Amino acid sequence: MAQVERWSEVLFGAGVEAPEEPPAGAPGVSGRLAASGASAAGGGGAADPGAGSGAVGSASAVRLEGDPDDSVRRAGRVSPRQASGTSRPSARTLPDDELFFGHKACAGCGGSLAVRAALKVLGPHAVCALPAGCMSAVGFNFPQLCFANNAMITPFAATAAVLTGIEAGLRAQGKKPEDCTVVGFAGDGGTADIGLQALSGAIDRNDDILYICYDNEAYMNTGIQKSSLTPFGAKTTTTPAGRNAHGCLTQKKSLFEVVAAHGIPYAATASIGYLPDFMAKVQKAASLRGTKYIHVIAPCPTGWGCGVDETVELAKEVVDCGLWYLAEYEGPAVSGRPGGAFSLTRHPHGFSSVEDYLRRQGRFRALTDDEVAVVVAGRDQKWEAIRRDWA
Amino acid sequence: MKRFLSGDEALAEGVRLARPQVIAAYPITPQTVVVERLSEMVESGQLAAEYVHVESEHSALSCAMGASATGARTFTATSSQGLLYMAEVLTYAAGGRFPIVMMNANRSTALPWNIYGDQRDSLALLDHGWIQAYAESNQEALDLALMAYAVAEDPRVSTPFMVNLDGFALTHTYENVDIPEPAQADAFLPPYQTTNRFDFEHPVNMGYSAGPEFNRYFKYWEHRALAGAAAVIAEVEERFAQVMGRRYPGLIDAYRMDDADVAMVTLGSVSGLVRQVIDQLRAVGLRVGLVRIRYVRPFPAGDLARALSSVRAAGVLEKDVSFGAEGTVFTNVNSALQQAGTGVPTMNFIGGLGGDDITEQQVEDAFFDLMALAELAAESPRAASAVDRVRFLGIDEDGVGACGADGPAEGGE
Repeated sequence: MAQVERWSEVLFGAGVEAPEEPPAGAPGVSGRLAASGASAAGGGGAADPGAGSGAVGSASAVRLEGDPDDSVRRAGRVSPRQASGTSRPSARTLPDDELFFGHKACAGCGGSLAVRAALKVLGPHAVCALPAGCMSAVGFNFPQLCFANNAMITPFAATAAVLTGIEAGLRAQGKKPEDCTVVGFAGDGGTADIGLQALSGAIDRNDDILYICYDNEAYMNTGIQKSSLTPFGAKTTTTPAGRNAHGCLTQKKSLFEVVAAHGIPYAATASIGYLPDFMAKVQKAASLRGTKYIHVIAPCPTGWGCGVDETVELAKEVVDCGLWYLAEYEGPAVSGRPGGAFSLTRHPHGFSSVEDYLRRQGRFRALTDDEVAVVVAGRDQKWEAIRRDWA
Repeated sequence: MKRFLSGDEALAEGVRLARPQVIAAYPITPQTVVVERLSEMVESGQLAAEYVHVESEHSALSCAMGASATGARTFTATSSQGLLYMAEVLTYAAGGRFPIVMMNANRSTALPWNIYGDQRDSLALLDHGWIQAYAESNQEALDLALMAYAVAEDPRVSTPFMVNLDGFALTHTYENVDIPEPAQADAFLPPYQTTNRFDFEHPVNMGYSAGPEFNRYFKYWEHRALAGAAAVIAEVEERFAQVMGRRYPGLIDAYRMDDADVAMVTLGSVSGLVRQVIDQLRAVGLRVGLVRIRYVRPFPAGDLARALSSVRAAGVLEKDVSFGAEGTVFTNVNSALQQAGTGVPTMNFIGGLGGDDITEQQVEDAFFDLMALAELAAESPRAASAVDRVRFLGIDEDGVGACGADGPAEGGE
């Protein structure tokens, strides 16, 4: 398998050079961390992080300095609401500014790439909420706080409810900027399992929020346990591969369709292997009012048993072999059609090998040829339905 | 303006006057009337708030927290299992220092399922970092709704506030209540101002992980701010008295304690009954008194020790038990007395569970138990120490129901 040679190709599509140096003007990690405790932490000792942290006296809020105004100004040149509908996000229109960096994600992390790219599209006025999970665990370690925009942690089950509260609070005070997207980033467990009730509630209320599920197909932050989005046959630490069972025995929940069944204004599937498609969907979602949901496949080398440089390739291959699909759902209000409308944003004319996709990952190592055939048959059934119902 | 209101309605009037900007609502008996009235106020335009129909209590408090993080004044209300369901979020809100005000209708916790009042729900969550106040009357419920915001939002406190009303005894019982004018309420309670919020000019990250070297400081400040709320409560009550003309007595409320030989410590609406029994016993020459705890957090250890330092015995009457131990309020009161070195013998009276009536006779008997304990302790501390100090009201060891779900054991032992 070919390795990804060019970072620019990953992020921006082919034909663009990646900058060798960090983008000019990108603030350094330490420069951004003006949290009261940051310098103390640098000193290596246990220091009172509250000293000077503001009037609250404990201050859950840590202010990010290092000239945020400048960051706002520079990134502000592509306000997503201005840009939406005019051009797809690309290397030419994306800002150099990094809004999520300096975090502790594993090498090759797909989830952090999804957050990074989405925030480039949404811009510095996005307000983020993240539940317990990989992205909050790697991005919110006081005093090393990695969001250059407003962001907060939520209880595990409560991503959507906190998003609702943020949006309602800003609106009630008349303080929501025109280009502000209230956006959540939750993992597959935090979305399809414990957070599903709150997500359903927010969609029911049609709160003006964007919910992005970065799906790495297991509870990775706790050490690779099965979620309801873990695919059949995947070995996790709670679905071991042994004599009696070869990994996960259940099928991946079709959460995109569960969400669409609410009649949500906009839902989409995506993959970090098709980043321009993902970013275009983020941009489209940001341009719409009401609840939006994007489900982005984000491979996890640590949990999937692949090389740290294979993340993007696997994220392409899962689409190319037909085990994932790039689609949209537009609800009645957006599509103008009763019941809404599904569509594909990538129409495969043929599939690459499912077996090749599975066999290059450690988590599927125990699968027999018969079990691989079951996976292939499942794919074919799914596509039969997709082509029948969504065409 | 005086109106004849239930506790739920009075509380809702107080919330209206406080002008919350976001209300997260989920119904549960006996809190429901609060969210019903608030929805009507929003519908009619009396109250300009975002009213969010959340799908659970967990989401109710989470939504309130998200709104508070934007600097909005927020309100939610719950009861019993609902409070327990949102328990996880209580610690988020407290640790994040979000000054959310929540009404809790005190209600029994399952199983057996029961909708009536006791205080096991909120007392089980004493350690979650919230200010906890307990109203005795509907007037106090309304006034607490206003004072709660003033205390919680004070930058020295910045801690969420739980206003507790006894289920049914207050929530569904009607009293004459004086409702302040909006101008008075506005004069007392200015809009919420904070730095603990999102800021588009200077973005912030709120709520995060903190390892051991920092975590202990965050927890220490949380404790310090909650303990320090006592001084702020005193200031707020003084200001309330100046604006509204009604004065509240701080963390505890003492009744006929000046020369009391024995005292009963209570929480919430049962205090009214205890006052009545005290008056009757005083009429026949018995020197008995009451200490009603208004705030269980911050815990008024010093106030209690001072109030009880000269009594010969003190009882704690509570609608709560920490199974396998004793009443939670009893534990707290004993700690205060022990630390103050008072040596006052104490006894715990547990009653009112699952909405059970606490009767005049039971309270009178409890006072006699205390007087007996005081005499015994004076004669023989050793003998007094052998007395069972934890008593359940209304339990007949041989009666129906005494043997649990299987009924009386055959053959007996």
